[in-house]
Amino acid sequence: MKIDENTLALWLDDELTGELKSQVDAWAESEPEQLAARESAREWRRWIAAQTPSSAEPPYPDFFNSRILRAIESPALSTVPPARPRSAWWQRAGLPIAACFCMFAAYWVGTKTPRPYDIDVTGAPRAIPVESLIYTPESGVYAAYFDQDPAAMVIVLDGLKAIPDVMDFSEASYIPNGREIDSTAQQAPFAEPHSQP
Amino acid sequence: MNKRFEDTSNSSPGVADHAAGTDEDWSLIEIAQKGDTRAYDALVTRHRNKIFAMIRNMTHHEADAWDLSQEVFIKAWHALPRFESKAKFSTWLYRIAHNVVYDWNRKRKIISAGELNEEIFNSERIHSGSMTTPATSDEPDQVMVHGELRVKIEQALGKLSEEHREVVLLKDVQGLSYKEIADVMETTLGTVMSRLFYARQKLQTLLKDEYENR
Repeated sequence: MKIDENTLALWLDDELTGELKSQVDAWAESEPEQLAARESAREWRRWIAAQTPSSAEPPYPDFFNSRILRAIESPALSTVPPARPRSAWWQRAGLPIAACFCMFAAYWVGTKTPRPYDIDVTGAPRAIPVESLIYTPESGVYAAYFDQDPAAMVIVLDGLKAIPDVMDFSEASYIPNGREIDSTAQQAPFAEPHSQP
Repeated sequence: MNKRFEDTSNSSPGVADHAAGTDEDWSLIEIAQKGDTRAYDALVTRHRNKIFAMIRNMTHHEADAWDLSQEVFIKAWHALPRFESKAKFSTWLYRIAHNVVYDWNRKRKIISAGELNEEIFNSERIHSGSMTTPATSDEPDQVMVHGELRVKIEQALGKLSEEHREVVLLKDVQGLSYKEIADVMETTLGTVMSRLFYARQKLQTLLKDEYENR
């Protein structure tokens, strides 16, 4: 008799019944290693079952039952939420219609509301134009600004001292050091300093 | 036997399938299905021990097992009108318990996500040269109550995956047939056989010393 793997696995776990079990039992009589394997499987199951309780009374069994009864007798206490009744077709259809109506009403109210530039501002305080003033950092220096001619712009500085010819610009020029450079910049945003102007 | 207890499932001929409840269960179910809570109370009393033990073996938390067992019976009450005699009442309860425990575990994983990685307590992952290791043994009083061997078996079961642990408990501890386990876990007979094979193999490796010195 040919026994397939599944049938053998079921027989080893005492899962077979009836005619099939009798057939495999008869075949196994001449297969001592299979009989030993089945006995070993039974022994393992007995050992695990003996150490692990298959049945245990829950603590406070009366309270256990009474809490279940209370939950099923008062649905409000039940953890299972009650099914919501299905709304009628007119309720389901009415919701989008009501939403459209509200949108249209809001648009209509918006068109009828006066806009800010239509509001009468007579009597409201107005800005007074003031003459422009050019700031000069050095005391005693006065500046005048002319821009009547669109092709030219003139700034006249009165009181500014002439720059002496002996002045060394290489000492006055500003060269930023490494710490002053923006750390997020990829490269230094200035060129190499010139030794002489 | 009541005709309604005849097996209408598509199990293979010759394979054990005890898909029939006891007559006493069935008479109580019939009354409870009409809304009689006292009959249902009697059903709870008849089955609470098995369900509580199964859930406690799955979760290793007595208080959680107490709450989850209650949830099983409350859900079973709400689903009772739809219960048919294709399976035993106890198998049907195990199926509800399976879903309740899986939901509980899923929620627990979501809540604990990012808080504590339980894998750090897996001793197999801890370097052998580490100066300190987390304590993994049970409290001394727990060992006294449960017995050292039982605690070791619980720890070994805890190292199995949820599916492997459940299949071992249902087969080797609760004594369900392959067909019943497939119904409870909503899977095929082949998957049950495969899971059981690998689960036992791992468990036997983990408990090699204890089993040989039994």
